[in-house]
Amino acid sequence: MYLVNLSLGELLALFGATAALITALYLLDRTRRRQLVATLRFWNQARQETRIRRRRKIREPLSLALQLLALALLLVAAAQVRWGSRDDRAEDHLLILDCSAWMAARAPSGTLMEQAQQLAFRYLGALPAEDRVMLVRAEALATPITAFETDRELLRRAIAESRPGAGALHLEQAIDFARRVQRLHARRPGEIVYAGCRRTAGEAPDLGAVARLRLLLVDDRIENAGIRKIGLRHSPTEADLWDMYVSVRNYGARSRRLELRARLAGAPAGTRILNLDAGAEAEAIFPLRTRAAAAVELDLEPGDAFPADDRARIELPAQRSLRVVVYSERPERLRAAFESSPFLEAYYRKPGQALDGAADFLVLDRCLAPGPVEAHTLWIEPPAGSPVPVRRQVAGAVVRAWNGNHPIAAGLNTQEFELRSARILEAPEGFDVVASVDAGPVIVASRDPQSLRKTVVLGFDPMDASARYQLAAPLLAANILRWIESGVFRRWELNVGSVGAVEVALGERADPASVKVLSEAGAVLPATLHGDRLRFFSGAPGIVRVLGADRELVYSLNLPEVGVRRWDPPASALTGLPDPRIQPAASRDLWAPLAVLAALVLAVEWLRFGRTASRAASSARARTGPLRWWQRRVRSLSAPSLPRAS
Amino acid sequence: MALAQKPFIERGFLEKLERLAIRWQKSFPGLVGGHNPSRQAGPGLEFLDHRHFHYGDDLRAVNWRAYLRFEKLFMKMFHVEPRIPVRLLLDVSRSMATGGGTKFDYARRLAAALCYVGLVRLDAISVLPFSDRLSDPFHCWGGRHRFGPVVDYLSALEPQGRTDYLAVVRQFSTRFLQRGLLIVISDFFDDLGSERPLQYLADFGHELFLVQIWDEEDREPAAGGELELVDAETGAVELIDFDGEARRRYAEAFDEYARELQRVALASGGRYVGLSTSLPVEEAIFGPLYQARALQ
Repeated sequence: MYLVNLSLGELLALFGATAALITALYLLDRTRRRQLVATLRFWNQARQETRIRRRRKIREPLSLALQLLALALLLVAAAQVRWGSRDDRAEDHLLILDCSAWMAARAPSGTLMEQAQQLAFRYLGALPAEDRVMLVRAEALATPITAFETDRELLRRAIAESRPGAGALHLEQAIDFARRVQRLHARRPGEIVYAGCRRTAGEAPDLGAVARLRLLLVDDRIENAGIRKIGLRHSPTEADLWDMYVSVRNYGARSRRLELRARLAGAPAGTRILNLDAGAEAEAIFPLRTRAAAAVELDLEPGDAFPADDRARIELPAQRSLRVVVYSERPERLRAAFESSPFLEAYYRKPGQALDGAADFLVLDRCLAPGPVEAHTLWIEPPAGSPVPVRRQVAGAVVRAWNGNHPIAAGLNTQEFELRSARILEAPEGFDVVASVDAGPVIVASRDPQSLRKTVVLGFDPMDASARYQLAAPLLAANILRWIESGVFRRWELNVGSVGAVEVALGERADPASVKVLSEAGAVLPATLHGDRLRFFSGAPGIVRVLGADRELVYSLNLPEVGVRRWDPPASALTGLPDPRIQPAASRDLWAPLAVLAALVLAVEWLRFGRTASRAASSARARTGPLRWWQRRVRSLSAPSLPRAS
Repeated sequence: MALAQKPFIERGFLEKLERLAIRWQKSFPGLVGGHNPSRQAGPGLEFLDHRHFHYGDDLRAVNWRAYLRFEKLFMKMFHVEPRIPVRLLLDVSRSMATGGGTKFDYARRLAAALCYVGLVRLDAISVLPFSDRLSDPFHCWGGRHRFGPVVDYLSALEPQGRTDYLAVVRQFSTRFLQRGLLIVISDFFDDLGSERPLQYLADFGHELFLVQIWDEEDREPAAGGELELVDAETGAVELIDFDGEARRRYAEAFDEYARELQRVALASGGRYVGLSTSLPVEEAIFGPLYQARALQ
């Protein structure tokens, strides 16, 4: 027999203190009290034979003894005394419940998750009551749900509330976590129990020797084929064309003939027939044409026991292009620059011709605007009346200085950009000098802080025969267009995949400062960049955006990740439920019978000694209590022996 | 001990009391009246009968209408109005003040209520406070408008002295020779006993109406264990070990004493009412006192 909540010393100290208090109160209750009475006539008749000889003599010692006994019983019950040996056979077990996405697969007897939960319940029932159990949910991450608990109801509730996640099982990480927890927090390490179906992500884990590993395995021989990932990239040649790559895998043990159907904005967009052997993976490509935002839906037929990866839905963003209106007497010379990108819509007008329709970008080649300018503007060799006055004209100039801080001059530092003739510009306030020759600025640019409209003024003709064949000319044109409207030229990629670690190939040596990884709520996610490889982790389904300088990658991590490897446990691992017969309870809790016994003792004490006192106390209360009237009424009616009236 | 905390008697209670009258049962030689129907003719207001005129009769009582009709003289006779002396002995000993004075207040309220009933019915009531001697009487008569002085008188009373029924009865017998209704409101706590003096009064011819008032503490003491008891009237001290058995014997002795008082009252044709102070005065009037036919 031993105590759980208190040590023996604490129990004795507590009992001594409270027993002393009770005895003092007992003696105080029985000390002689002085009372003024109306007459001694009836008191004398009630006097007992024995006179009081000593003060503070303990009268009714049985009452005091019963009270102290009840107190002792209550304290021992509160100290949670247990009957049996305290040989520390109580162990701390760690129950790893597989909550990977695959556990949502349906089997004839319910989902795999439900089967694992049932096994976990039965395991709890087979354990001795004093054993503590910690529940860990394992998928992409191992998450402890409870501490080491003896409360079976709490554990059962935590198991019942477990649901399949979206990631695959990382068993190695979960087992490592279990080992660490047992080493650091367990009083006496017990079993590490895994309840699940052994499907893990990546390579089969090498766990080494795991002491007292028990497996509660769920039969998951289920045929399944599903969509693994989806990628959408914009066509570089056509503005309204998306190429969609869909990867489908057969996880089952039999060959399957699958039909992959795509729908764009509710309309059929294509069907692919895929014949996949067991464990094989195939890719299907769908060209999708749309400039507007639309939803793409994918369905894999026929369905199977794991429907979560048989269907996917992606939202395509609207693709806009830049409307360019060119005022020039020589449009054929500029046509090459503005028709090089499918995202540019170029319209050519003669100088002085009215501007019909809206324009995002106005190119004024040696002419003035037909009216008020409400768009980005590119002036080429501006005439008098332009916002930038021309200082003078020079011939045979070479660009010597590039403003490296300005986006237009990004990557341009050549000292050999020769111009047959150039107009030296006067940079007014608000304009930045982008490039200069020895005589002065030849490229200036400004950005209106209110309207955000941008203006670029070139003091030379970039399509001039001396300039067009130099390397800096197309780069300069590209930089101007990207600075004017960077969103139009941004490359879009949409990827649909699974939660967990994601690796992105940026394709070039990206500047870490220009790359951002944002969650769906706009929060910055931690990411690492090694060379052109960006890695980040998302533990929950959602959308992650990777923003680069001219590139935006959208990752919709909503597809369930199905483990492709089946883990082979070590031979030393135990399987199945433990036998409860060979683990008898080492001790039995006695607090309930002790509490009942204490209540019985108190009841006996009250029946034997306390009734008269309580009646007297109630009588005293009646004189001041709120129920005085009722008590008086009852008392006046409950005196049958007293003569009432004659 | 003034009753300043609340009104002595509420107005609504007084209105209810106006329907009542003090009642007695005995016939007192030489006296008539009360609210018992009387066939005796005499001065009064209520017509009783006619008789022939005799020489010497008061001409004011002749029925002249009958004379005009029959040419004979007839005399009108009337009921005699009651004039039975009602005396109210009110215990003001210190025993009435124990337990916070609830008994004393209760007794005064009850006395006031009975006085009001008598005033409304034009009875003559004498209030006689007593402890170890009889105080001077306070006469109240003449209608309800005389109730104010009664309240003032009762409010001014203070508990004092010890109870000595024998001395009080001796004084009463010598001072009040005319027999009548004697209402005694007291706890009857006299160490020498009140039974024999009360029996003297009954034997003298008074109709006894004993109203015993007790506090809950008087009948069921709350205290237990070792007690040092101090008599409120004599100051005598007693040590007692008061447990459940003693409590039972105490209650038996108290009840036996109450039964003895009842026997004394009933044996002489009187009445007895025992009232606990837990019963409101209004309920006592319309409950036990009405049921005992002390009021009608």
